[in-house]
Formats: sequence, C-alpha cells, structure tokens
Amino acid sequence: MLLSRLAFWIAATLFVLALPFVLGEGYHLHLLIMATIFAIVAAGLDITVGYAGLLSLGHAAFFGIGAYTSALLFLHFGIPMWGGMISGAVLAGLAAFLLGFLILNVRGHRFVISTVAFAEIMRLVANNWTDVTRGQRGLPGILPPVIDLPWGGSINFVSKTAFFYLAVAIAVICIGIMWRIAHSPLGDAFIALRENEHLAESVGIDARRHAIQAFTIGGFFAGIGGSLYAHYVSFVGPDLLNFSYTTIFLVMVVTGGMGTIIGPVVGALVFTLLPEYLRIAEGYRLIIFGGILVLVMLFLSNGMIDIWTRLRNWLRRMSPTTGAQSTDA
Amino acid sequence: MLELRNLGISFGGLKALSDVSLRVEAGLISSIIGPNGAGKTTLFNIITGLRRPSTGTITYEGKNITAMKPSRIAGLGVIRTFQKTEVFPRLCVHDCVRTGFLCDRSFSPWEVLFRSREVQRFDSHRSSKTDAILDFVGLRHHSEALASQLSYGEQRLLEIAVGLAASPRLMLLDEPASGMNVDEAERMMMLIRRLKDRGITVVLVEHNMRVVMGISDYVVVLDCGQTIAKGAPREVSEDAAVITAYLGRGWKSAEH
Repeated sequence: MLLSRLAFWIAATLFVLALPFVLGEGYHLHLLIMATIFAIVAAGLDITVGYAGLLSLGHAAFFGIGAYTSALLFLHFGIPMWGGMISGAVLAGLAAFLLGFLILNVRGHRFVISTVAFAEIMRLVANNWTDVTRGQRGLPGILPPVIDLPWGGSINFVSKTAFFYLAVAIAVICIGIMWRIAHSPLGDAFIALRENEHLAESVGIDARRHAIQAFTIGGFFAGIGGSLYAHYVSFVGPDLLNFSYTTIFLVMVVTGGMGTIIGPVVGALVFTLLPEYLRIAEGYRLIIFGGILVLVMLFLSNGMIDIWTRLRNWLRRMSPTTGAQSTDA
Repeated sequence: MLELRNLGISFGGLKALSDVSLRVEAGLISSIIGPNGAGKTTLFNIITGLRRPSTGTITYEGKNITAMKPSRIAGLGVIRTFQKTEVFPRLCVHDCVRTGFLCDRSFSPWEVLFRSREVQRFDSHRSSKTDAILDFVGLRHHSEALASQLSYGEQRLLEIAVGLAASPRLMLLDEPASGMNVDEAERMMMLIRRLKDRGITVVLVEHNMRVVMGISDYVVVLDCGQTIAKGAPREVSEDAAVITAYLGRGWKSAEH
C-alpha cells in the first residue's frame, strides 16, 4: 500500500518534471502555468465556498490585491517576487479578514452582496487611482525572480520552463497546506458551519469566528495566486478585478468538486485549458464550452472529482476481495 | 445549577414570557409542560442565547449567561436539542458526532499546519469517544449512514449523540419524544434516564405525558408565558389550574 503510493508520487513527479520537455517553451506550457496559478486560487476559494459554505462573489478582489501589491512593491522598491508574494498574500488575507469582520456577523444574502460590492470598489480603485495604479494603462514590467546560486551562476525564472517548476512547487506547498487545514479540526468546523450553522453554534462552534477564518484563508491564497500571476505575466491591470475572474474561479470550484480541495485543482486545469483548446471550433467555442459546463453539472453534480470516486467504487465492486481490505486509499 | 429570574420577552405586542422564575437543580430531570404557545421553546431559546430576554437574568453555575453568544453558552456545558430535529444532513453519523467534540476547542494555525501532538491526540480521542457515544445511544450500527438517511426517531438519537460529544453538564431537550410511537418513546425515556445516570442535568420540554410523568423529578407548567404551577409530577398533575389550562379532566384515563 505504502509502496504503491510512493510509486504513484514518483511517477507523478517525473511526469510533471517531463512536461516542459514534451511541450516545449511555447503556448501549451504557458497555459499550464496559468492553470497552476489558478489552481492555488481555486483551492483557496474551496475553503471559503466548498468547506465553510460562504458564497464569496468577490474573490477576484483578493487575487487583484495580491497582484497589485506584488507589482507596486517590485516597481517602486525593487522587491523581488518572494517578498511581494508574502506581502500580497498577507495584505489580501488582511483585507478578507477586515471585510469578514465587518460583514460576517450575518451570513447569507447580505454577505454575498457585500462581497460583490467590495470587489467592485476595489476594481474602481484600481481603475481610478491613476497616481498609483496608472488606471487602465496598468502596470507593466514586473519581472520574474532570479536566484543566485552559491556556486556561481543564477536561475532566471523568465524562462517558461523554470517558472513552471517554480509555480508547481509553490502550488504543491499551498495545496498541501490547504489539504491539512481541510482535514483538521478546523476544516471539520468549517464543514459543520456549511452543513448546519444553527446546530454548529449550539454545540459550541463559534460560527462567526470560523466564517471569518475560512474567508481569510481564501483571501490569503488568492493573494498568492495574484502575486504569481503578476510576476509571470509581467503586467497588472484593473481587468484582473473583473467579475469574470470571480466567475471562472467559482466555475473551477463547483465543477471540479466543492469541498474536496483536489476537485477545484482539477477544475482549474480543465477550465484553463479547455476554453483555449476549444479555439479550433472557432465561432462555436463558447457554445461548446457552455454545453460542457451544463453537462458536467447535470451528470456530475458533485463535480468532476466524482468521476474518480465512482470509478473507484466501481472497481471495488468488481473485485470484492481487495475491496474489503482497502477501505480508504 | 441554572436559575432564571424574572425572565420576560415580547414579540411586538405579544408577551411571549413574563416574569418567569425557576431553578433547575443539578442532577435532576426537570420538565417544562404547557399548551402550545405557552413559551416553552422560547424559554429554551433564551437560555441558550438564541434570543435576548427583554427583562430578567439567567445564571448558570453562578455565572450570568444572559445574552451570551450561543456557542459560548454551549462551551460552558449547556447543550440543547431542537423541536425540529437538527443534524448535519450530508455527513455520516460518525462524522456528525465527531463534529460535536469541536465544542469550545480551538487550535492555532501552526498547530493545524504541523499537526501538533495536541491536534493528533484530539483527533484520536474524538474518534474513539465517538464510537462509545454511538454505542450509548444505540446508533453504532448506523455509523456509516448519512444523517439524512436515518429515520426520524434515529435522527433524534443522533442529535442527542452530537450534543453528548460536546460534553454537556446541562441538556435541554425540546420534545425528544414527539412523533414517536410507544416503543420509541419508551426507549427515549430510558435514554434520558441514562443521561441522568451519567450525571447530566436534564430539562425537558415534552407533550407526551407518559414520558413527562414517568421520568421527571420536577415539573414546571407554563401557560401564556407565565408559570402556573411547579412541583413534583404528582402534585402538579392534581393541580386544578394545570388541569384547566392544559391536562384536561380525566387525562389519565385518556392516555391509556
């Protein structure tokens, strides 16, 4: 069991390491990097929406805060991505905490509307505070980090291959952290809040405090994603705070499989790559995309991760002897 | 253990409770009875912090808990069940109970991230204790079932099991035997007695007079938001005011 799991991880690692060599420095690798960045954001949003059941419709704001923080720190103070990423994440988390502190005493409709309003305000700030953000012209020239090696030479993450490895490493750490949170007493408290807030509160689970925590965690990781995005794309503009970003993050979470962490990661991969590869269908692209969305929701109401669950259950039923022993993979 | 002093609350012009005072003695089973709309559930809502009283105070073990947050009151050991049974519908029975242990526990982000020994101990503790609680209420064989798949009566048991996980010292049960047949009600009675044997003080709101008269040490009768009688079950059931307001003449023969 342990050996097969080890084998799985080694195979997965080798697969990821090999990807840049198979795909080359081009467009395909670019899409994978974007998907990796979005995976961090989607997994974070899963803590907020999937675990704690708080429908945040303003997640793009935290993504944007991370991106702008990183951009401004780099452009004005020359602070490289490492510092920008931590500052961006902390600032986005802080913004989520403060917003949550103000509005999460009542959850439900009022919360949902407030998140939309918050994101819209942040977008307007990015658009109109031209002295700092340069408005629609945006902030170009945010460079990826460079690591000087102790034995001379350096790694410049301006190459797509290098940035891909970097993004994957950061994503693995972030998703690992979120997985831990989700499978801890804290995650259980979030689930209790989602399932029955009334009951949770009356068995001593402070609903407001846990809601604020879940919202803050979501904001924090959106900040990390935003910062990575800024340093990868090298340009930040107010469009990052558009509602469409929030929508696509939610699509990733919901179609991937809410409350599973891994589901939204799969969702991020599929819904970053799919719209691009559908370009071969030209004018029909968005129609097909919409059709796929509807089909997923119709037949996989627990998200795409459900394919895996069903397959596993089916395999287990096929081989009753091994199925009886391995209750959990 | 619990003392209510001059509690009053009104919704709009309606006085749902006025000047209710009562003491709940530790280790006993007390029942609150009365006709629909007498304010029994409202009383529970006020005690557990879901509603703020307009007048009066609630003291629990010497602490003033009036208008504290529900989760804090639960953290002090006051756990309730609901008239409209509440469970975590999409969790399995085992996980529902496991969740109850989270009562008043919190861990720092670092403890959670590095899965500190404290967190590990807590997780293994609640897993094993969960089985014991499920044995206690008789739902062990349903461990893996979804809470929503349980029958109505089983969901009531589960609700009590979740409450037990929160280590209560005072349990407020809102109509635990309602909608149950004679056998189920009988089993519920036994369970409530065993709660008492565990050292848990119980306050019961119940319409089933067999249950109330069978297990209560003390009965309080509410009518139109006021206490009209209190005392031992026998005294109360012979009280003229209670018979007119609630029980009706000849209730004993009607029960059988």
